[in-house]
Amino acid sequence: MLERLNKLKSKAEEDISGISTLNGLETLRVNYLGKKSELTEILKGLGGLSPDERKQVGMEANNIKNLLNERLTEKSKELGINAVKQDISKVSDFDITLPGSLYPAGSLNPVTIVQREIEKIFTGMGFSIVDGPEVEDDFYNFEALNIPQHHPARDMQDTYWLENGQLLRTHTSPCQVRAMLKYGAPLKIIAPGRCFRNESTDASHENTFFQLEGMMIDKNVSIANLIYVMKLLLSKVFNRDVKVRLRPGFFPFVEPGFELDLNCTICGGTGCPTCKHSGWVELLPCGMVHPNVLKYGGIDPEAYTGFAFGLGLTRLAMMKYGVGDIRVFNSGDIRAMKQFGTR
Amino acid sequence: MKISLNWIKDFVNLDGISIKDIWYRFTMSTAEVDDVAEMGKDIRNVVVGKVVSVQLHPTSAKLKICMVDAGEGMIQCVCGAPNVREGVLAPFAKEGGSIKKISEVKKVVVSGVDSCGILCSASEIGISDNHEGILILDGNYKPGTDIKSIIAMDDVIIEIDNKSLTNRPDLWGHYGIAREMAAIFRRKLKPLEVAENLENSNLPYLNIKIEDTRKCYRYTGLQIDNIKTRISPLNMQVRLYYCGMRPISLIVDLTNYLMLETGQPMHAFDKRQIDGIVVKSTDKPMKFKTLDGVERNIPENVLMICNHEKPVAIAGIMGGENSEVSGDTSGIILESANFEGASLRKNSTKLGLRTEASARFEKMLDPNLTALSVKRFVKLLKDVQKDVVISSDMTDIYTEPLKPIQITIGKPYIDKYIGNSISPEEIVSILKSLEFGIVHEGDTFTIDVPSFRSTKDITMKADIIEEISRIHGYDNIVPKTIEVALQPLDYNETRLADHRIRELLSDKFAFSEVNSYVWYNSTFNSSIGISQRGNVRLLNPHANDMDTLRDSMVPTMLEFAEVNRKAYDEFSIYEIGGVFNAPDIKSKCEEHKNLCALMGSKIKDEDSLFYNLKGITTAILGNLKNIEPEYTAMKQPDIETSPWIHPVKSVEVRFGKRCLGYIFAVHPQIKQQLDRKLNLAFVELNLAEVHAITQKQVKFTEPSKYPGVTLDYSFLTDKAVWFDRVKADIGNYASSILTGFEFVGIYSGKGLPEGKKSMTFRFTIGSRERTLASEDINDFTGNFLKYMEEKGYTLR
Repeated sequence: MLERLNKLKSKAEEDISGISTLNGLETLRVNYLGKKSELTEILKGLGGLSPDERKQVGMEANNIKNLLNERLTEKSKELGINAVKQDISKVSDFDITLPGSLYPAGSLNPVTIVQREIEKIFTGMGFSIVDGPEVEDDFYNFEALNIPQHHPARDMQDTYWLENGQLLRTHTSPCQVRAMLKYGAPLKIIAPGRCFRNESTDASHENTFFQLEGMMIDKNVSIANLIYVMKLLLSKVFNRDVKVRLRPGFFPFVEPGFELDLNCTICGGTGCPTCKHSGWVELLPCGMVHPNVLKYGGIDPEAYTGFAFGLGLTRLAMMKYGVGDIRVFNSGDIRAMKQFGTR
Repeated sequence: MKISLNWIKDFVNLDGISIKDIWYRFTMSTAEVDDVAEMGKDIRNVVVGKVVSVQLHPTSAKLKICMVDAGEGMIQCVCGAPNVREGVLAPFAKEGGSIKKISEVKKVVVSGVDSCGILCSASEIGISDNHEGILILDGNYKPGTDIKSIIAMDDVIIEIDNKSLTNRPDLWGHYGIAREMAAIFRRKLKPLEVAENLENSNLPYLNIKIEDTRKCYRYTGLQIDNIKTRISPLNMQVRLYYCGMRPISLIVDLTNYLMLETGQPMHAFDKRQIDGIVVKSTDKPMKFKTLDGVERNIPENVLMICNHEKPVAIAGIMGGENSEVSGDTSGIILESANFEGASLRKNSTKLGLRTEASARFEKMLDPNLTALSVKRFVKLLKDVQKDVVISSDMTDIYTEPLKPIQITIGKPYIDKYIGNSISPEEIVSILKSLEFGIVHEGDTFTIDVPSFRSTKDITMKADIIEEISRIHGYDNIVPKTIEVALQPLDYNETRLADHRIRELLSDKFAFSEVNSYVWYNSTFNSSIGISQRGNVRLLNPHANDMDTLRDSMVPTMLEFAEVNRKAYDEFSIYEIGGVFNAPDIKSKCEEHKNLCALMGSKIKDEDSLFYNLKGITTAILGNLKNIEPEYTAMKQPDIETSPWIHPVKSVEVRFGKRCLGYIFAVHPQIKQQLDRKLNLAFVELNLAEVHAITQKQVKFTEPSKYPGVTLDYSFLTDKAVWFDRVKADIGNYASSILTGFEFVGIYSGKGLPEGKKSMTFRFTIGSRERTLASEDINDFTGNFLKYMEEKGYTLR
């Protein structure tokens, strides 16, 4: 009986090591260890043997069963690895260079992108964002900004007037007055929005464009604060330290009024056509809020001071993306818009 | 405005300061310099040449052969100027020299004759536009003398944008600019040399009357006779030319020169036409010929200078042809007056006539300039011709004297406003250099504003701060951060919501955001069958077909569909922008923001575009407000007022009582006009209504611990039965284990009975208490399908 077991064992081991497919291996498992296998039969027939023989044969049969199980598992692993290798070799011509699936992408208007960036910067500094109407009254657009009737500054604005006596706002500055009247002092606001000037359009002039107004009023706001905040803003916008200069500029709603120039980003200040060889690019008008404007806003100019500035968002978008023709922004041309993405 | 540096140097010594520095500091403290031009730089090796002999050219009738003494022997040159003659002196460009348009003068052969230099016209040496002949030099100059030692042609001319001087009437003349330079560089300003003793009661007082004293503050007149010199000195002509004026005659040039020097416009009348000046406004419209030869219609209420009743000049704007000086004028009445700025500006606008004079008067000039400029005029005139005769007393009518302005300001206020501390000594020195009167006591400065800054420029403390800080130098102010109280920020929720919508549309639904114009393009609109609409009209549109503000953004978007339809078979765009309306064109305008989104496709049909937009609208409102809007059939009047709405394929978007907007396929008629193959659908939402909805609170339900089962069923119905009815019927089915259902799809076509469609739903059933047994499921199915059968829906 033991001899029969030994024969079975060596035959089985031989068969297992010689098999090359997982299916074949499964057949061997059934043949050698299944319910109807010789080994199972031997184990079933143990009862007919003498106690000594039963012990010896039983032990040996179980040993063989365990051994074969082990062999089968090993072989199964080995064959599994081979099978995977074979599967992989079958796909060696998989073309990784084919393009990825196409998901449609939308886009934001570049002015929106720039605007949101600046909104983020100022929100981070605790400024609130306010809105104002695009159709304005003379009072908010001019009078309350210290631009009375027949003031020459009205000429510079090239206003679109409406039949009803109102106008399309020529700047976002009316939001200053609206915010002062609504919230009082202290005040920290920005107001982005669409503005209109009745001038003929060309590559650098648009009758419809976006500005961002900013204003801060508190008990001790100074020119030194204004310069600080403007430098901070521009280093954030341009993502590096910037060199700026402040020079006198005349706007009736500020006193003193400034033009803030940025060291030319193209030539670095040595002079080029972009900066008209001056090394500086005029970027944003700003100034200390005129006492008359504070008064119109219901704020006591003796107790409070403030600064205000106006940033040309459309112009900034042109600089940021190297857009040469301002009219692109209002063209509705998706071929242009798609390039800007959404961030 | 053009400024000559030579002229400035007449009044302030700028030695040791580079030209670059001069204009940089001027830009930083006063007004931006637009352009700097170095004059005379390109004129080299030009000397005084004496024409010794003139011979006819052998082959050309126009040309002459001249022998020129240029200091070092005779030089032969060919000259075509009609005025060249023996004995005259003229600028002569030698070989190797350079003049305008010729960077190197070379020996050339002109029609067979050698020419070794050029006898120059004024234009060739860059001091005039005159190219009619050579410039004949009056005077006894030695041949060979460098021309630049005779004519001051080396100069630096800077240009300042007039707009940046709007608020500074004192800077409209060289003397004012020189004063500014003196302050910036702390140099001494030389006084203006003037003729004295013009107030002479032995001479007759001129007959001058100001009737309209609110428009003319001051009028200074002087009669001068025996003016024989006709032509101004060359150097005066050069300055005028460099500063953009054309030299005409001594008298006219002098008035212009004075205007450029002091800023005071002056006018010279021919004395023969004037014996009694009256300044008054027109009481009725009239015609008047100005000295440029143009007959103008003068409306009512325009200030005129009259000789008794007869108008002789438009006050402050331009003189009349009837009284201008002519070639034989030797006696003049000189006018130096001060006019009110705003009314003069109005007149100049009404007449469409802006002049150098009116531009200055508009700014409100210092009334003290009138007399000063008359005195300066006489001084300069006498420099040219000693024996002119002053034949009247200087007649000065000054009815409304300027009120002096005094400002008191404390040092703490100055420090607070600037944010840096500036020493009292510096403050005093700055203000003194700008010719302010200043008394410093304790912490207080009492400041007297000079008259040339008092007309409108400086009125209050903030103006004084500006003077101090700009001369101190904005670059010298140390930036400082701000200390403010900590406060929670008020977020602008509606703006954040707008941005959310943009993110959803651009990021999730792949739309492109566009910006547009707020006015209708009525030419485009009518081309696709949209008639004139909207009650908010522009008074001064830049184009006649763009005179109405939009009350809907759909037409704008249709225009953009036109822009993009050729490049794309499919596109999705949107804008968040203003729309405007009013009950009638005289009423105040109501405005709010709309969202308008457009899907266009030549591939998908308009039905699916419509349903796409319905899904997108649901998603947006769900995201923003956690609500599900209702979609109801459009009301007839709304369809009529919006011709772009498809009468059938359109819905109103509602939430409760609010109408939020519309979703629709474009009306077939418009589609036909635009592009038959392009299917278009829109959603337009009134964002004011959307933002006014309160966001619905999220109500949490614990998910069931027991698995649910999903069952898909398709039901056959008549085509006329709408989804809404089926949905309602299912919703009305009472079952304790039906936990939800959703719409999967619709099918109508092959394999279905005529007039039928099939709707598929997915039902979820489950229990919160136990896992469902198969009997539960079978019970539900049986009962539910029986219920549906009774309602008229057969299982497909």
